Amino acid sequence: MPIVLEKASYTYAPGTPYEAAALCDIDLQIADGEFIGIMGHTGSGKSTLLQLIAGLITPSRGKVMIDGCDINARNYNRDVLRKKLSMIFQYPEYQLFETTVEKELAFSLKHSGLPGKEVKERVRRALEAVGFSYTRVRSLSPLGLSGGEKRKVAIACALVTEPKILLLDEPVAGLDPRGRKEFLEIITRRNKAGTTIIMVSHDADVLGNYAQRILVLNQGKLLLDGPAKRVFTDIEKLEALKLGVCRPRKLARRLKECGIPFPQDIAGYDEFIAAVVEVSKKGGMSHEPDTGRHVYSR
Amino acid sequence: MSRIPAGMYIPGKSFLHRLDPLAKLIGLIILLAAVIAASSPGGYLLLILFIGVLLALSGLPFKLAIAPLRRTYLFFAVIFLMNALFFADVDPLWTWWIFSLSRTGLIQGANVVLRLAIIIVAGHILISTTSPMEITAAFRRLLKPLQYINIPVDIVALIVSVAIHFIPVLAEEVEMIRKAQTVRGARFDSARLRDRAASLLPLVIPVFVNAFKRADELALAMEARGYRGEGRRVSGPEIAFQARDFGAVLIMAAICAVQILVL
Amino acid sequence: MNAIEGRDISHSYAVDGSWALSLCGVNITVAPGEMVAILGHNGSGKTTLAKHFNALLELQKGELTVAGLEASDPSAVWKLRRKCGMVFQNPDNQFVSSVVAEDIAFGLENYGTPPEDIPRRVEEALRLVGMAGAEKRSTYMLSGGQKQRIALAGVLAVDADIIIFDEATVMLDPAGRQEVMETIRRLHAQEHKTIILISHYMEDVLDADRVYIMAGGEILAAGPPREMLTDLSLLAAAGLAPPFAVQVYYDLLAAGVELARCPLTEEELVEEICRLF
Repeated sequence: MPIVLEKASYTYAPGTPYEAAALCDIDLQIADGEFIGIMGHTGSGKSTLLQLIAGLITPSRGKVMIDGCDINARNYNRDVLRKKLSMIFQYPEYQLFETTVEKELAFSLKHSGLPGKEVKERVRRALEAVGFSYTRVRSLSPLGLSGGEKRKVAIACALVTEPKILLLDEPVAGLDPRGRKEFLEIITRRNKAGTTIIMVSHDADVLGNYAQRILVLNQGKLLLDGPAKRVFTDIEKLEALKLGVCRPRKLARRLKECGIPFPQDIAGYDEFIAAVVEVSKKGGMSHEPDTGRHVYSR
Repeated sequence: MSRIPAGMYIPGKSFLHRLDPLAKLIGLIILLAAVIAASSPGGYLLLILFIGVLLALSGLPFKLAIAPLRRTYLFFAVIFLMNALFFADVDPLWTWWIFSLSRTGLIQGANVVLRLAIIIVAGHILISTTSPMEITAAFRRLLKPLQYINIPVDIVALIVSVAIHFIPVLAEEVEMIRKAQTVRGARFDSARLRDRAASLLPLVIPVFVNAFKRADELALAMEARGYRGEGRRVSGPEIAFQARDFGAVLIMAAICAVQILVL
Repeated sequence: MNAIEGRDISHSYAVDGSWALSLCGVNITVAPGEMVAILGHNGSGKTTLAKHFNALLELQKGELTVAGLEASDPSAVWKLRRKCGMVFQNPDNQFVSSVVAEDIAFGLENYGTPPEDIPRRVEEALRLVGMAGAEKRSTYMLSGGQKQRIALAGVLAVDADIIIFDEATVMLDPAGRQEVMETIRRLHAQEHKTIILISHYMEDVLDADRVYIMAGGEILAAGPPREMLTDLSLLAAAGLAPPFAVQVYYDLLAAGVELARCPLTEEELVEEICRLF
């Protein structure tokens, strides 16, 4: 299994008055090519989990294994991890620093040991993946670009290593709907090409539309782990945890309350539309709704 | 993500915690003077003993109190070498190219480093035992008498207040950027000095650029809230140059604080 | 008297040695107590326009009266900023103090409020934003939604009548956005403040009194949300995505299912779907 966490735990600031258990006994297995969404309110340990997988922090207990190797073992070569795994943080445009876009992307390949020509080629591919023309942007200063362009450059920086695993921490924060859609399309393309995607997001709609499997964290513990449809079906549980529920699911429940035999295992937008079309074709209601509306069947 | 204010204020009930913040602040300033005046081994020993007493009175674990020193030893090494190797002395021990190692230079280097270390530790103990609120209040009280000799006390108090607010904000951002660059391959913990030095730019540049952006935004917000500097209305196409200027200064101050405490 | 009356406002800025137009002949009228939304893609000029209302940008061309004061009159600017306050996008970059009460007092001090009145006004402002008793809290430890509410309290403390929210919910999580929007709606309904919302979140502006759609520095259209936000071609021209319910309406239409009317809110969407049966 590519990513395996065994009883992984992490404690913040141990030995100080600020000590807090951020993650507790996480057991997790993630296969190649999965698209995983992670939900949980602030402080539930979502970012900590990502950082554990990325090798940025060492678990206080337990193991983090990637491709069969314990990444925190003494003899593990971190360079290997850096080649396989990329991470995009919130507001990734804040990390830009180089004088040209090309150099900025090349920084991520500095220790890759690749020859100059290959580096150039990867830079070109990464820029094109985010919708830029290599020749037009390569010598521009990243810090002089617009906000949206900066973010695209930052995303390209993560893609340039052609990682097997891509971790995303609230990647669409601050983007307008169009920017959000563009970004998610890039990610979906990567996923279809075989990259494992693990995405933390507050936006239940985004997760419902794109993630196949959803992990729900609460107070450092892995509460739910399953296919998106199944996790969102349990709407009462999510609401009890004060977590967002994707709109298609909420609407499905509302429609059921109105007496329409609407399927409840809906997570994505397209599924929702299809379900409405399907149900409207069948027509009719199963029983008189509480609202007292007239019932008639086609 | 947990909001831990960069390991600074640690609540407690020790003698130092309960001591009047203004007393602590004045004490620190007097200590600063004493440190600058120290020059003999005896003098330093006395000061180090004093720091030891402070430590005991603060209830802080030893490791925590000297934590900033562990992060700044590179900085110290540079300063020590700069003094040791460049001090123009009549009778150098050894010369090569532009370097000239001299006894006086070595002593000078040691002097500077020791002084800095003492002040950093003392400052750290102070900040760990005094909450930000208390620090700001203490500064205000300290500076109050200065207004009688026409020093713009309010502006200084404002600068301190803003800086204190931004220190944890910037510290968190520094941490985020460090992590982001680490994933991209930067080697902050490498044994090779060259790698660590090369990793500084990807850390320092974004921090500075973002800090200036914050200063700009803050200056705008202050203007919007009726801030006029010293009552002089600066007209111009955009925000008042004065407010932005001042914003930049305080951000720089906060960054310096963060670099020393966090890096 | 209108809260905001702007005519033929234009603004240009220098870039690469020449001038670029960020606003072109904008006309806008906001009545007292109205909740107005200004929508547009990034770069449409909505923030540039908003910064004219509290005179953060000098009026280059056109006429603008805010709260009865002339925006082009330098001597009126300071008074104007008291009447027309702004909550900015980044919650952290608005604070001048690490203590809530001190931060709220900043505006009061700038406007010469007697020191003995300040605690009372801070308390009142906190109550208005639903954070009574938060005086001694650390600004750093607050959640995003709470930070924006404190920023809002700072504006309310100096008795602003007009409050501009410049993408104030963009950096918040859904809970924070909801917190802030609820507070805004309450202020609008109970305190009758004039509210200007700059946003690209459709769901936040559905109950505005009027919506202005901007693109390329111009106002493309203005009107009630129901008209503006159900017009797909208008939204497309402005580079905006329609509200969820509107999107569903049109996607259903394309799939051969026609709802009786185009819903604006999710509740209306549920009603319309139910009506099919």
